[in-house]
Amino acid sequence: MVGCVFSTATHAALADTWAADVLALGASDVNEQVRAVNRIARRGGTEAIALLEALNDTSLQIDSTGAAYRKRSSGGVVPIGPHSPMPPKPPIMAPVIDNELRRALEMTLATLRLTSPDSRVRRRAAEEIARQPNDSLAPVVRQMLVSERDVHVRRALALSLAWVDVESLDPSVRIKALLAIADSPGTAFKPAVERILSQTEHRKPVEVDAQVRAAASKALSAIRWLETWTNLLSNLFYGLSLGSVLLLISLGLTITFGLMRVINMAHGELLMIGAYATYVVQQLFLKYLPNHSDWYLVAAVPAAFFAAAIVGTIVERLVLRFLHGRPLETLLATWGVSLVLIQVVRQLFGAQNVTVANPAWLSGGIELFAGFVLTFNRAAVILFSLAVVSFVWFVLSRTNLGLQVRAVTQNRDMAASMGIATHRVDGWTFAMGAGVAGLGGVALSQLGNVGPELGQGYIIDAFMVVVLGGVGNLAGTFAGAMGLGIATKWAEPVVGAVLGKIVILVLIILFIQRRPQGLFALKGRAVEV
Amino acid sequence: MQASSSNQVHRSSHRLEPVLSKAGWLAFCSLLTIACVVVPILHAALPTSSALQIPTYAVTILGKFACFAMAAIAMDLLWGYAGVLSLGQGVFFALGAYAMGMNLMLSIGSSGVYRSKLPDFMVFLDLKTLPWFWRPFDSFWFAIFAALAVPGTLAFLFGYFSFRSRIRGVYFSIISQAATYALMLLFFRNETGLGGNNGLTDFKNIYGYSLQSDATKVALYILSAAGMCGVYILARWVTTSKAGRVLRAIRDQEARVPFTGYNVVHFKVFAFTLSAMVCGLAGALYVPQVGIINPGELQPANSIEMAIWTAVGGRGTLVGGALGAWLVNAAKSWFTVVLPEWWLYILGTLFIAVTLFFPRGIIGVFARSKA
Amino acid sequence: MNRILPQIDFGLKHLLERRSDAPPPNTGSSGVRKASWKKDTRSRVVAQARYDHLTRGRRAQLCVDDVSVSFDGFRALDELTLILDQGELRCIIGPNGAGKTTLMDVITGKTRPDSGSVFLVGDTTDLTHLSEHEIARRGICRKFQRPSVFQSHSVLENLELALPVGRGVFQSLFARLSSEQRSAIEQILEIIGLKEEREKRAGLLSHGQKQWLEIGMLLAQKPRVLLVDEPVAGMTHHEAERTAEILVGLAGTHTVVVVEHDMEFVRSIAQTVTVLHEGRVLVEGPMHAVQNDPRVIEVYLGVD
Repeated sequence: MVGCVFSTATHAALADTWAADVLALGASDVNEQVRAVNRIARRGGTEAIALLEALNDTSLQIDSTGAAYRKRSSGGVVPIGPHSPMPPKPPIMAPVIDNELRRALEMTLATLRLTSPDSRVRRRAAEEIARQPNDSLAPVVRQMLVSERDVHVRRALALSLAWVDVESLDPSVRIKALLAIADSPGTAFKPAVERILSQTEHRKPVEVDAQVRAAASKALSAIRWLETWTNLLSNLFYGLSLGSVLLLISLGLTITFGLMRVINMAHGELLMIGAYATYVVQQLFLKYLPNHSDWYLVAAVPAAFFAAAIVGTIVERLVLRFLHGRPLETLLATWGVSLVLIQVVRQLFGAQNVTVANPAWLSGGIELFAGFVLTFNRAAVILFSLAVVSFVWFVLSRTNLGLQVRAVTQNRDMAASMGIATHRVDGWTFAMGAGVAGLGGVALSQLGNVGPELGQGYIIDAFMVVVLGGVGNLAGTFAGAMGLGIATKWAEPVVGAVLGKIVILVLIILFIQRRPQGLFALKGRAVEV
Repeated sequence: MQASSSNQVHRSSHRLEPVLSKAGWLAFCSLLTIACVVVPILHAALPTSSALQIPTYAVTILGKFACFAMAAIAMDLLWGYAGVLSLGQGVFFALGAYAMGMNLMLSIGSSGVYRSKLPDFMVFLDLKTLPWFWRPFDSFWFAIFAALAVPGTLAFLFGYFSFRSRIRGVYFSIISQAATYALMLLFFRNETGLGGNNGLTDFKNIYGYSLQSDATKVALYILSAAGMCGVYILARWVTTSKAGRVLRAIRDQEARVPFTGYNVVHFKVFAFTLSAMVCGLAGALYVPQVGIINPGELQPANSIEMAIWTAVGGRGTLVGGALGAWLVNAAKSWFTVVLPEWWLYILGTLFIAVTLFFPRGIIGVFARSKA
Repeated sequence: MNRILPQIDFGLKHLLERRSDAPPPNTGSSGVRKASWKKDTRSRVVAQARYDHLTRGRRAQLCVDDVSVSFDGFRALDELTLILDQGELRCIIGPNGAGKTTLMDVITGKTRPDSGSVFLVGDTTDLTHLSEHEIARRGICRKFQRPSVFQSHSVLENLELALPVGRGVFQSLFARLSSEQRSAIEQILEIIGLKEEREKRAGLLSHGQKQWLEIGMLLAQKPRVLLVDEPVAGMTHHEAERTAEILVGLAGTHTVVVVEHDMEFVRSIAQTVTVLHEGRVLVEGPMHAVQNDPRVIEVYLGVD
């Protein structure tokens, strides 16, 4: 332990000043408190760290003799360090901490941690300091740099020095600092580096030394490179995430609209039913299987699929079957269905949103590098959507049902004359489309709020994706969804979320007017309904 | 052949189909009289204790319904006769309402909450001067002009580019719905300068007359009812003309029409633009009677509801449009007061039932039972 | 994953292609112009030299010059050249998939060819650049395979719609029927034999009556060229005779082109017969020559 070994001789003497410092911590004047903190910090050692940590998390108690104790959350106190006899002598007081003290405290603790024997602690502390500039720590850091052997800690220390050294009077020091920044760039340094490269109002460079400027440009390009990559990956990830959501909500529609030429305005509500099915499964798990509650999601997938498929089949049998070949009427009838479905759900579950929690294994994320966090729930949705697409593709191209579906949609009369029960195939097709919509609802439940009007917010997007990609076309839907997701995420930081959505919608409308058959038109087929 | 044509006495030229038959004119004039003369008399001349007296709030409701009927007639012209199902007519209605609303806002003058020449919401948003596009709305007649021109222009452009690309049927419906949604989002933004999600409200005067006075309300009602009748005659004139027959041909066999020498795009754009302008006018008459216009009016659900008014009454009959608007809105008013949770079920079932069982609406039911 | 709907190959390929070859107009097909996505770089006008070459030495009315159309790899028309003379009655025959209906589609503007041009004599404008209604207004009128009259309009209204007046939006709003127009309609009603049915809704007519009404509409349009696609399909013998009378009566003042399968009918009206096969003209000439031509017999099984 890199600490001070107290000889028994100096023990008592030190204890006095120690007690004095501890008492000073309880002073009412903040400046006295800060001075006391600094004195304690200079001593170093585990006792000092423990004392300051206790002060930081407001569990410190000081008795009348200047002995320090830590209040336990379960009640009672424990002594801090060997100088604190039990029981504490009243009156016991808890020092007051204001923001100024807190700032000093946090810095001090960081410094103390820099001297910890654990290199991980040191590294974390060094990185912390590198993120938040603090000139007063520079000497400490410099000192640490000399004796530090661990390469990661060295780099972080050099970086934190760079803050200060960038302003140094000695150009070679400045250069060294800038090169350190170029080595491990961070957006926090950007303003300082840009200032070095800027010009005064008389168009003279602020920084006179050309070599320093060169080093600064290197640093700036490194920072920009990092920013570009972070943005790129961030946009890509969020774009793919949004694209996968769009894909899931549109896939069902591609099947029903594209293959069956049925305009299902209640498609959004099928999504909603899938989301609510997930909610119900979660509640059941919480009630009957609380120990395995995190696995509700696995059971929710088939539950949502079948719930939505059943509702879809009911709609198809009772309403759609009779409106064959009348797309405008189908549109209106299914709009009516959607109104009914929303109201039913509203009466069953209430008009408020219900909470569907991410299971633990989907919460959180990993920070790949500064500023870019890959959240698990979004990554899972991307993978899930790919799985669903593969499933649909498999069913349509490799199974008997899929073959019949394709036959009926290409040439209904011919298929009927070959003995295919077209009505039954219609039912199965619509059920499948509805089921896939239910799966989309599962994904939506993991990403956002679940309420009766969940579907309304997505139906227009779903239609746009389907029309954009070319109706009845898996590849088109895939391309349309992903493209739209990435395009939206790229537009958002530029023009804002609402305006971005408007612009995207307008662009799609213009594109469709230019090319009504969509991105991947089915060859040889006229765009007709 | 010469003999047969000389047997028939003709004026040199006349329309193939008259705007209204004699019986039709009779019915129309009676309705006009009842609406514009009898109702106001029942309101003003009778004492409030009388059972037949129509209270002021009822007059306003009738006025609002008349505006809806106007829009429904326009919708029927577009859908029932030209076969174009636009799910965005509510946008044109709302644009007309906003146009008039802007004039009403500006005529509040300095008697608003903030006692400033600027509308209240602008003061609230810290705007210092009136945005440029607000200025002409100081004039009432400009507002009327804008209520017709803005929806008309928007419809013309949107329709031209869509129909030219052969977008039709359900595709057109979906795209019109998406465009409606985009516009609604635009109007919700505060930056658009139209009141954001609160919209425009708190009107005081119209054309100098106080909106609180009974006389103004009755006058607005009469204007709306007369407007509805006028729009009906206009629509009859269009649908009984050769243009109307061309529109019906487009509705029934669009693919065949160009081979008969007609430019389908022109006709569709015409119907779309006319319908939009009528909806705009309806909106302009509506807003002083309801006292508020906000972006919620632009939501796609409102436009889709217009379609059901037409479908319930009977598509392709014009009268059906007006009838459907009255019936559905009356039902809505009643249900949302008495049995609110039921209204959406009723409306949803109405959509389903009408499309499945009564494709020709109420008028269709009567026509069938007559035949 | 590009095609979710692969070809159904049960040996009925050509049947399916015929379907896409000629979408019936009644179903509201949008008739997307083929290959309209690519920029059309062909000239809008026929070269004078070519015009002169084709029209030399004959009283031509309509020229189809070197037209080729491909649908998705299938060549419907293959450098087809066809010249119609003024006032003639031409019959076009050929087996299924020979391109007869595609030829009509190209002439009337429903389908844009990949190459080649079509023009009316007296005007070097290439018709393939015009839209359907512009071509119809130039006097090229078509009668479809399945009767495509306007079902919810009366017979009279159908004929009124076909009249070549008041075709613009504003003109049609204010259009009035003059007495000359009325008598023209009466004449046509007389010719097609539907005088008693003038107020009847066209949808309620019999199949044969619908065909005649459509022919009547064609007459009302005052065409120069009539393209008649299978006029006697579904007609009784008696009705077919009447139709033959009408068509023969029209020839001379109009140029009439008839596409038909019914050989007896063709024989009864034909002056010149053109046989199409695989998008090209196989044989052209008077009926008896064509009938006995071994090439025709070979491709056109079923000629009795």
